[in-house]
Formats: sequence, structure tokens, C-alpha cells
Amino acid sequence: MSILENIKKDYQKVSDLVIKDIKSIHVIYLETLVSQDKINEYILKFTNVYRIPKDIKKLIPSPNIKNISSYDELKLFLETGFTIIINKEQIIAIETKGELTRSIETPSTEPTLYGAKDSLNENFQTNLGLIKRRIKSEHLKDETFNIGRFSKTMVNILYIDNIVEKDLVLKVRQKLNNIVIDGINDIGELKQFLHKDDENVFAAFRITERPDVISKSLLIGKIIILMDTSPYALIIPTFLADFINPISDDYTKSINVNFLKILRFFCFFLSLITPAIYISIMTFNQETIPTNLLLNFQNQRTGVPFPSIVECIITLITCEILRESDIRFPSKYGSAISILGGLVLGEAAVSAGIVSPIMIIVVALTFISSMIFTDLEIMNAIRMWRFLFLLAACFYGLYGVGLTFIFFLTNLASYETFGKPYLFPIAPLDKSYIKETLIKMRNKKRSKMLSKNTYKGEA
Amino acid sequence: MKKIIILFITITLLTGCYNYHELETLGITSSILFDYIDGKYNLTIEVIEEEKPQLFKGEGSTISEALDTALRSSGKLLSYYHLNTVLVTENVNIQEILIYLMRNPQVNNTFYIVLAKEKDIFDEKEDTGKKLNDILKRNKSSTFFELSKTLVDDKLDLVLPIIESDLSVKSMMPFSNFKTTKEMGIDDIEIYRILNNIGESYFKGKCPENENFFEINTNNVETKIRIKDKIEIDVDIEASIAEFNCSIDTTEVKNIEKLQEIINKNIQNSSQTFIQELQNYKADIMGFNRLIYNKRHNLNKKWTDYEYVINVETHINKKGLILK
Repeated sequence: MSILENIKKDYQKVSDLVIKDIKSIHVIYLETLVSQDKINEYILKFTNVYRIPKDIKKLIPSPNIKNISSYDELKLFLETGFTIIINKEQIIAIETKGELTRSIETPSTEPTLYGAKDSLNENFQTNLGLIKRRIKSEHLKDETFNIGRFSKTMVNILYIDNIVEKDLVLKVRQKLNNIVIDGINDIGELKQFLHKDDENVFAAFRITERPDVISKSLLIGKIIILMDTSPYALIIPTFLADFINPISDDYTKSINVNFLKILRFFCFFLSLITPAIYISIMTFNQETIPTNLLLNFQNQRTGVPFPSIVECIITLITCEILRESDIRFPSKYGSAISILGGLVLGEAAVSAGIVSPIMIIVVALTFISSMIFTDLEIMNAIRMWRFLFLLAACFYGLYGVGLTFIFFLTNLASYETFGKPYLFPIAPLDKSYIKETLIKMRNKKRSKMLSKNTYKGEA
Repeated sequence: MKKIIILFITITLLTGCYNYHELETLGITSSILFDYIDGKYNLTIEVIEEEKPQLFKGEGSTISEALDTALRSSGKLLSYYHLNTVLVTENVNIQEILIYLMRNPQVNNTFYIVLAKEKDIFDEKEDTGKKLNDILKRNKSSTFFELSKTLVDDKLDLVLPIIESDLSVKSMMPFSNFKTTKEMGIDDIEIYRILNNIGESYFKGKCPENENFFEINTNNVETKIRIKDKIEIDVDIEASIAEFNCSIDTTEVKNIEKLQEIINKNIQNSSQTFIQELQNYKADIMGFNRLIYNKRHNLNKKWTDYEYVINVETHINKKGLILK
């Protein structure tokens, strides 16, 4: 059977398939995916000749024409919005994709004061274009994969050729080639194929939607994964030090920025340990605080019926409920709901005698210091560990907090992503990577863990 | 996975909560008064509750029994983590009390110990323990941590301040082998402080021409004790003039040297009488026995057998306002 009959048979109940017969050629396209203007301009105008030549490519002025050699390739191009022209023996595909995505907007999950304000889109071409505007070199390579039997989404790996380590690229390529799945919706689903999901609570990947973050990571020696229909990009490999600081640190003065970096590092531990230390001081180790403070706490706790541990768990869980409902509830219905939640926690609970005022201060401090991290995965991981510290403090006091801290450190230090240790710039000490993330100083070299080409050029 | 859950449950439920006390059930003691009458200990405990002190009294043949009877009418457990002062009368054996407090692991070591002359010091409206703590801190007494050296070292003796009924410190009591001797007044307190460089102190001297007095403040004192045939004490004082009612000219160096000599003689005489008194009471609060033992490795000749030679040198560095 000829190819035309094959197409008609396979696409039987597909309503948007259009087959036009013009003179001796057949023009085939899927109506919902193409833009009508482009088809008119590139194809239909120029087919108004007396005789169509043997090589139809001489006639059509489109900038993107591909030769098709197999039936599967034809189906792939047809479904991504190309127009197929069958001219006796020659089959070509012309790009005529329609505009089905939104325009470039400001970043919604990673806002900053200084820096560029464009973010990635669902359209793959736009995303790649935004990145190529910032890195203009022939060494920026990208390889394409099509993942999913029904969705056939285009997934690309980006890296800079003479900086990155080749072994890492090989590993990622192997893992992407072995994926067998029906369909994939978002780049988050790729994570489980690239790395074991249940090994540790902390995330092994970093997600970003800003092209300046992407270009910075590419220049250090990391690999980026982009996907069509997803406005986020994955960065491989990631370390714990990458999550703590935003990109706008690079654009401001070093002294001010270093103070803020120390503050953020301190807040990381504050949001982990504060409820646990409060509970252990109140119930097990009362000798650690000065006398006046202790008498103050004792006065505030008169009339509260619950023991401190139950009080702490009640307030923490109420705060988590408040945070979760604030994310889900659409803001158009009014902001009164979150005000109500705040009132419930604050005034009403204290005056009803359920909770003591000092408990609210402790929990508020915990949550405020955890909001410094924008990445959702880090906030969730900190929450898990916070409850574990609290449990250890309930049974063993400050001794339990100390033991759990040792457990926490060994757990993090033994975690590896793609063969690189998670606590990288601190655990194997590396000065050049510390200057990138933890302290802002002039940096002349790339770190050896990520690239063999350490010469960076004068800053 | 099952093994981990079972292990976790058994460990936390069977071994946890060793010292768990809710904060409302604790009674925070601020001060304790020890007394010994007719072969029984009488204790008065001051517990702070909602910023008001409560007093509990009890008696018993041992300290623990007395504490137990004192707390029969209270609903709280005692916690000694925040003790402010411990008051002691003359009838009590000090060594037993010090050992009791040192042996208990739940006692802090930053409280002060005083000798009280009367037992009715406590005021029901105010926190007496905290007030005494502030008074003794300003007077630069030594805390329990420093006094515990006398328990451990058998060649050093204890000295405690004495509290009057209006909470003022006017005298001190040196102990000889944990037995009380005789009170020493304010002048001896000043000499003791000068010789040990405890804070700033003052000293008076008579003017060379008038009947008036002038006064110096000591800023820094260095004492060196050398042990030879006689014990030599060299005292080097840096002082500044506080009060001056004489009519000599302080711009000339000769006059300053005159003033310095007056002070030197005064301090020498006072220190000689001070050490003579200590020898009479046999209270070695300056630690001479320890220095002798360190040098000679035997106590064939004790500190009471030596003669003392004291050399004082003052340097008046700051003269203040100079009027001609």
C-alpha cells in the first residue's frame, strides 16, 4: 500500500487530519497544531505554478525543511505540527507550528530585586532561545530524546563541551535511553528515573525557571535538562549549598551579601532545632537558662491544661495546615481566610487558655526562618527533620537532640547524587566552590569535582 | 523494616523520660537557712512562686529529713538549680553542709555562703536571696565554686562574710579547720582585699603638716611571697588620690614621695597586726602552709613559726586636680 493509504487507514477517526490534493502533490497536516498563515505563505502560494518540479524543495522558501525516510518519522513530524508534502517519490516536512503557548512572563516562584526578569515558558524553542542569548558559543551542545510511547515529549540535555565531565553525560544519557513509560507530563516525573527516590528526604535535583541561573550552572560544569511543555529546568548534579542562596547575591556588593549568607546559614539550623530545644529546656534541662527567664516562663504557663509537648505539637500542626491551605486556596476568594487563620492561632488560642504565648513566639520564629528557602523540596525535608528532633527531645531532652544531630549529619554526609557527595564544598573541602556558593569572593578557577578544565579567565 | 519499628518503640518507651518534670511542678528555691538547735537541724527554705516568696520550715536529725518535713505542706518539687544564697549560723558544722551541697549533682555553683547572726532575716514581700546575691556580688565575695577549694585542699582555711539584720556586710569570720574563731572588722577586710587584689579599695593616711587626712584608691596590687628563713611579702601598689585635704604642693616630686612613704608605713603596720591576729586564731586564710609545702615538701616548720617581713611600695600615678 502506498503511504497515503496507510495514513488514511491509521488516522481514521481523527477529526483534524486534512489532506489536500494540489495538482500532483499531497499536502497533509493536523489542523489544530498548525498555523494557517504559515501554510498559506510557505506552501499554498507557491504551488500555483504550471508544473511542479521533481525536487519540490526548490519551490518552497521555508527556512526549516526536513527529508523523511521512514513511516515512523513521518508520523512523528505530523504530530509535532509539521506539514507533510508527498511529491511522487519525495516526502518532505515543513515546519508550520502554531502559537499555543503564553508569552514570556516574570518569574513567579523565584522573584528577586535585581537581575533579569524573564522566565522559561512551555515552548521549547523559546526556552532554548533565552539560554542561547546568554551563552553564545558553539561548545553549547544539546541532545534530543523522545520519551513516552503516547506523549513522545521532547527532552533535551544541555552542556558545554569543553567544561563538563564526559562520564556524567554518559550516565545521564544511559538513564534517559532506558525510560519506558506511557506518557510524561512534567519534568518532575523524570526525577524518579534519574535517581532513586526513597533514599533520602533531601532533594537530589534543583528546579529553576530563570535563564540566568541556568547559564551560571552551565558555566560551572553542570548539566541542564529541558523538556517541552514544562516551564522548569533540572540541574544535575546538586549539592546542599546550592539551595541556600538566591541568584541575586551575584549582583550586589560582597560585604552586605556575606552578612546575609551567614544569616541564612544560621536560619537553616534555627528552623530545624528551635522547637526541640525549647521543649528540652522546659521539661528536662531547666538549669540551662537564667533564673529570671525561667520564672517568666513559669508565670506564663499557669492555667494551660496540656503538657508542653502536646502544646508544641498542636501549634506546629495548625501552622502546617495554615500553610498548606494558603497555597491551595485561590486568592480571588479573598485574603480573609489567612487572616482568620492567623487570628485563630494568635489571640484566640492564648486567651482561651489552650496555648501559652511563649509557644506562639517559638513556632512563629521557626516558620519565619524556614520561609527564607524558596525551594519547596527543602522546606519539606526540613519539616521531616524538625518533627524527628522534636520527638527525640520529648523522650531524651538535650541529650536526644545531640544524638539526632549526629544522625542528621551522618545521613547527609553519606548521601551521594550521581557519584558526587551531597555536602560537597564542606565535606571534601573545596575552596573554589565555597567561593561560588557559601562566601562571595573573587573566584578564578572552577572546582575540580565538576570539571577538568579549571581555568576560568580573569574575572 | 519491622525490626526497625520494634527496636524504635522499645528504645523510646523503655528508656526515655529519665528526668522529666513539667515546669509548673517545680519549686525554684532562692535561699536556704541552716541552723542547729538541740541536736536537730532547723531549715528555712525560700521558694519563689509567681514573684512572691514562700517560706517553709522543718526540722530533723539529718539534712534530708529536715528538708522532707519542710516540704510537707507544699505541692512542688524542689529544684536547686538557681540557688542564690545559703545562710548558715554559728552552731552548724560548716563542713557537713559544704559536703552535702557539693555531693548533690543538681545544685549550681554560683551561689554565695554567708554567716547570719539572726534568724529573722527573711522578708515576706521581697526575694531576700536575690537581694543578698546582689549585695555580695557588689562586695566581691567569693562564690561556692571558689570556696570549694578549701574542702579539697587541707592546707587552706575558709573565710565567710557576716550579715547583720539589715543585710549589710560589716565583718568577716575566718575559720580554723572549719571551726569558728573571732570576728574581724572592716579594717581587716580592707587589708585582706588589698593583699589579695580583690577589686578596688581605699586607704587613709594622715597629712604630714595638718591634722587632716588624705585618701588613696588602689587600682592594681601585686603581691609576691618568698619563703626563706623569714617569709617575705612584697606588695606593689598602683594608686590614685581620691581625697586630699592637705596643704602641701603636689606638683613637686618630693612631696609625692612623702605621701607614698606615709602610706607604705600605714599598710605595713596594718598587715603585721592582721597576720599576727591570724596566727593567734590559727586561721590560715592566706594559704601560707600550701606555699611552704610546695617549696620544702614538709611541714616541719609551720607558718606560725616563721617571722614575716612586709615591704610595701606605692606608686601614686594619678593625682587628679592639682591646685597651687
